[in-house]
Amino acid sequence: MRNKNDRNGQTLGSVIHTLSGSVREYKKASILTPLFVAGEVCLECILPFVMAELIDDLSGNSVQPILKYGAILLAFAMCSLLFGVLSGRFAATASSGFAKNLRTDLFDKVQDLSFQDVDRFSTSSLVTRMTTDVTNVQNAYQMLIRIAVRTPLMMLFSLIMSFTINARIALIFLCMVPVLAVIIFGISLKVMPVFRRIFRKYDAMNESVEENVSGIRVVKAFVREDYEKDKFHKASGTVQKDFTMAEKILAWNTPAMNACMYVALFLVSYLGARLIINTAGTGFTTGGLSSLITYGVQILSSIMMLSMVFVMTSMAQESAERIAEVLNYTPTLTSPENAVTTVPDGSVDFDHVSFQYSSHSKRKALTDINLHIKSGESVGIIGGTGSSKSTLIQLIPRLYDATDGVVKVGGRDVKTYDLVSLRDAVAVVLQKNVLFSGTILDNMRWGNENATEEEIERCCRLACADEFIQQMPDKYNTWIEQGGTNVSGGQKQRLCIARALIKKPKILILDDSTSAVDTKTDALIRRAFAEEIPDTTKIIIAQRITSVQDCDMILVMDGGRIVEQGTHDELISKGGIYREIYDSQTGRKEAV
Amino acid sequence: MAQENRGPRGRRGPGSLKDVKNAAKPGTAKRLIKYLFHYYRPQLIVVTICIILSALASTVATVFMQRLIDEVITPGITEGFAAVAAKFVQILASMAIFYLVGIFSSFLYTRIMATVTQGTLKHMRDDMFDRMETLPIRYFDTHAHGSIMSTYTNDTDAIRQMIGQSLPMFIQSAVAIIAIIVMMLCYSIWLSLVVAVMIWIMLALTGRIGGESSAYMTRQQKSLASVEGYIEEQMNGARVVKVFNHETRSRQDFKKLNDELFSDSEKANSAGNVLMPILNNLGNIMYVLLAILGGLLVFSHAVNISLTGMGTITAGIIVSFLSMSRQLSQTIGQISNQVSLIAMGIAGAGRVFELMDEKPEEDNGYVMLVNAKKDADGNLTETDEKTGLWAWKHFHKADGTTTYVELKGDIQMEHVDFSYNPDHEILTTYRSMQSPARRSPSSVPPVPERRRSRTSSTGSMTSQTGRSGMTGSTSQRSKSPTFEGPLAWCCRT
Ligand SMILES: Nc1ncnc2c1ncn2[C@@H]1O[C@H](COP(=O)(O)OP(=O)(O)OP(=O)(O)O)[C@@H](O)[C@H]1O
Ligand SMILES: [Mg+2]
Repeated sequence: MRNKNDRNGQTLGSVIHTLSGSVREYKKASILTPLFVAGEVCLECILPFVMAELIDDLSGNSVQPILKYGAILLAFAMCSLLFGVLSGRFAATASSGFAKNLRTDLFDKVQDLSFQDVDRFSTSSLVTRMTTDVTNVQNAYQMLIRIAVRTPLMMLFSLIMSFTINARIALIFLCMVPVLAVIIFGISLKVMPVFRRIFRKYDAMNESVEENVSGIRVVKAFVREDYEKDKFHKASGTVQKDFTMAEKILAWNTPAMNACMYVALFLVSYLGARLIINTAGTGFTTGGLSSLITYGVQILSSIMMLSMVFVMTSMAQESAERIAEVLNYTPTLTSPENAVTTVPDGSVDFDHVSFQYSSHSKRKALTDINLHIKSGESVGIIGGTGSSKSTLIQLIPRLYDATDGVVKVGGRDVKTYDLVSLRDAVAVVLQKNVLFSGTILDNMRWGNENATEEEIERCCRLACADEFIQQMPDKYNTWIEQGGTNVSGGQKQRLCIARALIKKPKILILDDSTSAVDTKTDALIRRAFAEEIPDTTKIIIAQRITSVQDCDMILVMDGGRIVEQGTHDELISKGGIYREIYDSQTGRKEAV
Repeated sequence: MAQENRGPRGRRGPGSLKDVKNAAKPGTAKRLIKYLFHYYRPQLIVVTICIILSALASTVATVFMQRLIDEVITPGITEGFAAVAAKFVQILASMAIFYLVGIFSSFLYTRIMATVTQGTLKHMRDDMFDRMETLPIRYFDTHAHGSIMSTYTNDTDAIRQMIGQSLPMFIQSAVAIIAIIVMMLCYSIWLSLVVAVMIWIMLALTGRIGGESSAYMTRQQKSLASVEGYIEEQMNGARVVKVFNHETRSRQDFKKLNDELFSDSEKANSAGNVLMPILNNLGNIMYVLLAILGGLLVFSHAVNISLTGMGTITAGIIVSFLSMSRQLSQTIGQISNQVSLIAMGIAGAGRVFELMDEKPEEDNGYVMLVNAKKDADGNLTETDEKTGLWAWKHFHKADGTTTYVELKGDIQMEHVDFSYNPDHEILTTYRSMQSPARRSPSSVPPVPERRRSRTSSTGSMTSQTGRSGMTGSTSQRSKSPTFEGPLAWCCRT
């Protein structure tokens, strides 16, 4: 536990400090749980002690003591039951509540992360932190306030009690404890790294399944089934090997435990019997012997439990660290103080803007961009894949911050705006767009929560989405599956455009958003834009010349720079890259 | 150890309810055992014997206690140590032997089980995966990916838990219980009656709380799946959330789901947590009642009736009876913990077998794509070399001849009907269509036409059937390996 304290500069202390901030309203339950646990353990340990008295009275000649001790014992057992139930209840509340708060805090934090932060953590890792890691911590927490309190107390009380009964015989237990502890903890320490390795391989194996489940079309299209099977068999083989090894190490646990237990029982029986006989039943009694054995079993099985707590909590430690890392993270992009909340118009300016995705990367994604777009203008951007078209437009709604230079919207540096106001004014239809599970109406209302159905229909008509929505059986109430898998690629793009239009933005950015839409519809959408939202600045990224040729200004990008700029006619007569693309696209058209 | 739960996603995730319902089909347990024995018969026989031995070893300890008290201690107090020394040594020696056997057999079976469990799981995973690879795409369309994933994660984990731990422990506990009950009856029928009543109460309570707990557990599992589904959806769409300033709404929706999960999780954990203390303390109560009753019997010199005959109750009998009753209640506690795990394991096995039984995509095609070369006369012949020239090898059953046709990427569709699900036709009697491949052979890959099995096929698609021989170099010409060929184009909109 001690060797891995410095993970990402976090000490165990700071991790615990961070996480404990999420206990909040469940502090009461978290404190009551160990208290009741302690009460239960106390009573449970006194039980065999009183029982010894009762047993010794068995051969006596009066019913009185039997009934007296019996009544006391029953009362104890009842109270112990009550405490046990209460501690169980409170433990459930405390741990579930803690997990709930952790999830809420994580979710809130993640919502504040910028694109760059999400890139840094990676989406799947964030999902794991909010799901599996929280569950691990929840289980460990419940264990800590319950079992980790119960077990040492149990051991301590049992030892004290057995020493009260007979110190000499109780010494046997005291000697057995370190022996068993060393063996069991030794096994745990040995097996833990193996388990850590297994989890990684296990994840890798599951990833390969996931890949096959979601990419089954590709697998089948490329007839890769046999290859994939081989790959999977190898992965499952290594999991099997490691897991078998781990379980074989763990297989020492039970016999070790049994051996210690039996040795203790054997010695206790031997010494106890001799002692009783030699003292003729005055110093030590049959009842005492029976209780001692009960305590002995409790003490030794406590060690087993402790080792389990140890393993579980140290496994959860990594999860805790990963959660704390997110909770302690300061988002890189925030609204400034005294932020400007209104965006005056849709003009966009880039002044000597350079950008790189991370400080480690040597290559700049954008180099010295200078660009001035007037409000209401339409701008087309064209360029090869990886030429940083998407990167350029992501700076406008401040999804990323420029590394050098200034990006202005409405004549002001984007960094002076309130983020919400800025993003309300700039609608981006992202290249990697998604719809969310819900009806079409639900999805459309992302643009504006209070949009009426008429408004939504109008925007869908603008985006040429209305026509196919009307053909669906449930029309606007058609359910969209997660990610929008039940609509076609082109339909999805049109829905995404409509969703952005509902925002009534000052600047509308379409990043390759009509790539799956047929040319005719594409043209219809562009005409609708020109006629219906003339005052909105429109920035259109496309691969097809036809999608941008009518724009007021066309930018050609290459390697993170704007290499050509002008109207269609200007660029054609210039005879540069644009002309080349134009020729190749129209040329192929003629050939087909 | 909790593996990531990739349950069915989303509120509308298909299969979520079905998965719960499909849980335990009768015969699943039998099939699972058959599956186990198929690979590891001798090992499992040794394991069973070892388990029984180790269970007996731990149970007979109490017999020795009774004999020690009644045959050594009690007479020893009056007669002195020397008189009982021989008996003492004899009892201790047999005690040691039993213990050694117990230790050895528990070691042996845990080690063998490590191999058996992991080996079986490997077979199971491989069988599942191999079958999955042969399933038609329709299967993946109609089953939530989350729930397919969860057969590999949650369900196999449940099975591992069951065969590796719960099953051996269950057998061991069952043997121990039987042994204890027999011994109890041998000691005293009166006391056994008390035990019987208490056990009945314990079992009834276990059933009730256990049932409650597993019902809440299922609900917790479901709300966990929907929380995870929501998180996954929001995270995958994180960029869209940001662009649309949707953070606040996302938080509100998340809060609702999260609160639901909290309440289910609280109830499930609570029911799970209270079971052990209740059983434990009922055991204590039983212990006390036995002591009182035993004391009264001893005091009144009542006649003790047991399977071994009649006599008087001794202190030794009561002491060992007490420790047996403690053992019994602990064992019941153990079983009660295992029952739900076993149920989960069997439910998991049911889903695993279901996937293994799924009908594979039919491959009736017999035309294969092979490497070919042209001989001097311009005839195509098959070759092992990578010639870059491909031919469809067509074996005619009727006259036993084989013909080769050069691969050109020529697709024709004649009277094809197609639908994603049987009741909703998308492509209706598509008369005839020729792929543009005719005109520009290099731009369109040959579409492997059986990527979707046709449901209502009233036509033929002559695209030179047979996917089986199609390997890398032809299909890699396809720029987009998804359903994007001309066939797809006309399937859309
Ligand atoms: N999130 C990111 N983190 C690091 N590098 C990135 C990231 N996104 C893009 N890049 C890199 O920046 C460069 C420009 O990418 P960008 O997405 O802007 O290209 P693009 O012109 O939009 O291409 P396409 O036409 O394919 O959409 C590429 O080299 C890419 O690898
Ligand atoms: Mg892009």
